[in-house]
Amino acid sequence: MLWNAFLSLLDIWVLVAAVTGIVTGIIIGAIPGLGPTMAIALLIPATFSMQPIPAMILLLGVYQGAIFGGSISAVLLNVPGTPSSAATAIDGNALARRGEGGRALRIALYASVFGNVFSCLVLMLLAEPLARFALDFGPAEMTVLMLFALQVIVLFGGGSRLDALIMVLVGICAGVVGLDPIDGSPRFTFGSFAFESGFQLIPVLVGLFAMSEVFIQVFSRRSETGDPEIPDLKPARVSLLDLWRMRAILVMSSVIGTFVGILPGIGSTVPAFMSYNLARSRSKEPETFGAGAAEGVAAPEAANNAVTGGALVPTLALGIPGDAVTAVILGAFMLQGLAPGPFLFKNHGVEVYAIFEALLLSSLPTVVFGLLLFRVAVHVIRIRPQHLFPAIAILAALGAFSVNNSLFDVWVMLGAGLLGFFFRRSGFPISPLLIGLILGHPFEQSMRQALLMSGGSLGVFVDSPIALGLLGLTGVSLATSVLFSLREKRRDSE
Amino acid sequence: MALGALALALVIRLGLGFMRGATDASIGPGRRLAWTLALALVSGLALVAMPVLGYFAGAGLVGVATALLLGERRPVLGVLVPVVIAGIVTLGARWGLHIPLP
Amino acid sequence: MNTMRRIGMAIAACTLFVQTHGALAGDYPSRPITIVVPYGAGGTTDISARQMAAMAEKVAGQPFVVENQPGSSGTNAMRAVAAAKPDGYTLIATTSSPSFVTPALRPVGYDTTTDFIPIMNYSGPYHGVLVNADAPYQTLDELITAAKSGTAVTYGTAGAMGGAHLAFTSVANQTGAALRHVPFDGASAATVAVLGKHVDVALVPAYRDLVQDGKLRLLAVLDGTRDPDFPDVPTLKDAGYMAEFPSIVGILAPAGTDGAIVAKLEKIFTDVASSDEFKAFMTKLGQPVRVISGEALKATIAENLAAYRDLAKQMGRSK
Repeated sequence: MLWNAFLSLLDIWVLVAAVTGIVTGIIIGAIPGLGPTMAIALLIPATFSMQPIPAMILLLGVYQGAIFGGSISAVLLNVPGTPSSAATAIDGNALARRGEGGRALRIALYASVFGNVFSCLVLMLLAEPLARFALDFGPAEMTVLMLFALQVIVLFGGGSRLDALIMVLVGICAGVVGLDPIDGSPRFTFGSFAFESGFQLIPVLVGLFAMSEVFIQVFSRRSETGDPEIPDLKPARVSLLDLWRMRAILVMSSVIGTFVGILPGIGSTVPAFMSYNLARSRSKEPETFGAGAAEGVAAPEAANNAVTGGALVPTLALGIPGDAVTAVILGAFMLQGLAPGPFLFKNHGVEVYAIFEALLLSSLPTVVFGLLLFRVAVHVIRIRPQHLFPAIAILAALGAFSVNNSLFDVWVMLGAGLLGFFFRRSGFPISPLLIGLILGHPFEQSMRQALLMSGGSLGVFVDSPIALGLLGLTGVSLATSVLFSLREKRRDSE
Repeated sequence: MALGALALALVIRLGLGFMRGATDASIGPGRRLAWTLALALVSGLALVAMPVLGYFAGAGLVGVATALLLGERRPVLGVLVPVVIAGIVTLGARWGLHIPLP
Repeated sequence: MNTMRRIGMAIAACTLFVQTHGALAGDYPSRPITIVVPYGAGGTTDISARQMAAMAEKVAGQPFVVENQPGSSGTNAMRAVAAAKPDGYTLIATTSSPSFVTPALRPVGYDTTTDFIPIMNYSGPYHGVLVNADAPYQTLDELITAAKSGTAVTYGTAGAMGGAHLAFTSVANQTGAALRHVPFDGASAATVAVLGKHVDVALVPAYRDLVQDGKLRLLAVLDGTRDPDFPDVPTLKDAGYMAEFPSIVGILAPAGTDGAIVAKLEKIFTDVASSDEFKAFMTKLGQPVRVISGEALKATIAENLAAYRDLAKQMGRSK
């Protein structure tokens, strides 16, 4: 079957579809606010008349390309193109400011490809058992898992933990606005219809990262003190040895990404930050994180790309999409006559395995086109800010508008931009705010679902072995973190 | 319950804010802050005007304001470049991405 | 070729802003017609509306442009279309939730019965009462009996105060059964929960493959008519409970639209929806084709809006 599937790939249209998909995805992903969902929805009508295999390869190529494209703008401009590349911006941009943008991009590219290949292999080999395993994660287990994720963000993010905690709480508070997830009543909407959808992730992201960057540039413009310094471009070699040194981090991040991807509703931003923080806590020199550590680029990139394969597990094996992107992909599969669900692998095995193999092989064009693109892209950093940032402000407005085609989201973006500016000027980390906003709503919902199911008894959180294990993990990591910082304090005082 | 969680979060936040009060960095020179706020104000005005004037005019205004505030003094580069970018983005979004811009 | 057509469409859409004269029913349609979809691009409502639009274009001779306006579970788009000029050039392809469920629960800024003229209905996914295949319940009656005799039965739906939730609340009220509602974020999450045995029952659409594969058992459908894929499974009413959640996907026009235009549109869309090509497309998408006339759709909406208002009042949530 695998061989038959491979033979069906020997078609020039498959290559054309893969390359078109990846390139379109990278470009759309690099624009702040425009993400994979939009790119895929845009291309679906074009796939109506195509054969199933090239059509799906085109769309999945866009999916992977868009996740990677976001990190190009994150590295070069400190403006993540998609939420999932916000973690990449931290060290990627630090590298770029030292003139090592090319190196950061290459690390990001290789880590992305690693994450893709890893999760794709998992998808091919273990789709059904993993989908069944994911079913064991009910509301109670999800609550504990999200608690663990929030804790990792707060404890291992580097910098002040209090600051991180405050920002997470601000994010969670912002997430409360909108309709109550359990009884559907409006909260903090002040009678306005526009508030009912709450603060959407994309406008807040674009505001916090892109618009606040514009404000910061205006605030600290250098032209009064002479021309902005343009760093020399340093050679950008990344040897296999470098990657081999990062093998543990790459594998760990890919596992986190794939695993979180399989579970519904968390998305790719949280695993990216989790991997970043865990890579930092494992590192022998954690102080380099934030100042341009190669691992700090590799970890989130491997994780957010590994999510793509993970998210396809329940989508294809059960016909149940975990998020907006996979829901759109599900629709595309159905239109091609490949209805995802329990019958997909039985009835359309050859097509499905052909698509998987193409995803694996598409690493090659991704690397080739990525490297070609980098040659041009690294020069973006040499554009003077007064020409670059107007464009970013304009694109930010577009990106925020395009989410719901509503001006309210542009206002949210502007507000978040100003807020992000003040927070960044006063030295607060803004990524925990993003995580708080992403996880706040589902955390509340899962917790209340679990309590509804148990009739209000808290025992539901320790009833299942999975929840108990995760709680234990949370406790252990909290304890080690506290012990570690105590020991450090003692060492300092000695 | 949600309200309780929110209130608790706010109390914690304020408490922590007071505890940390001494170490907060100052925000920076006031004149630069004024310029930054001016950009926010212009962007807000552009947004108010956007349903009437359209996305192109609004985005162009924001772009020009950003360029000028970033210290671009040559009229061609300061005005034309943002306007051209706004034009490309508007056309691309409307015909390429099918976004119904105002 | 596709691009050429799109450019053509774009130019045509551009002229929309130039032309100012009101259209007479006789030469309608004389310019492109916009169909607003209240959900994001790429969803089933969007894809089916796009197919509908592409096929209607061939019949009507004018392009039908689909525009997405997601947000607030569809009420944003409904409000915008209600306020649009009733000239037959702005229509909405809408579903049950923003037409008669949400308006019964909270102020939404429009009244479906007075602000819209239904043109026709063309689809509507069947919602089922599903239990895990390992569950002891073989029929809906067994489930309700168990719930009456003290077993706490939990049921998951796609969201708080959705049509499925309200319909089952009404069943619980009639029978006194202990049915505990657990809302999820979307039908997929509720399906996962019943597959993973975290809830006993899920009230969701898109269950066909999972039921045929033997993972889930379909006890009843919430709709007014039986699902043609499972003709042996009763509706709630067949099973003896006075509740239903009729699922609609229909096209509405703003109130005040000329009667002749409405008739013309109804004919165009009914012809398209009854065609084999459309049926084949919808089957691939896993959606039924259910052609209902504008009059009947109007009655369904009015009836259910009233019923849901009553129900909401009983639950202490009247608007």
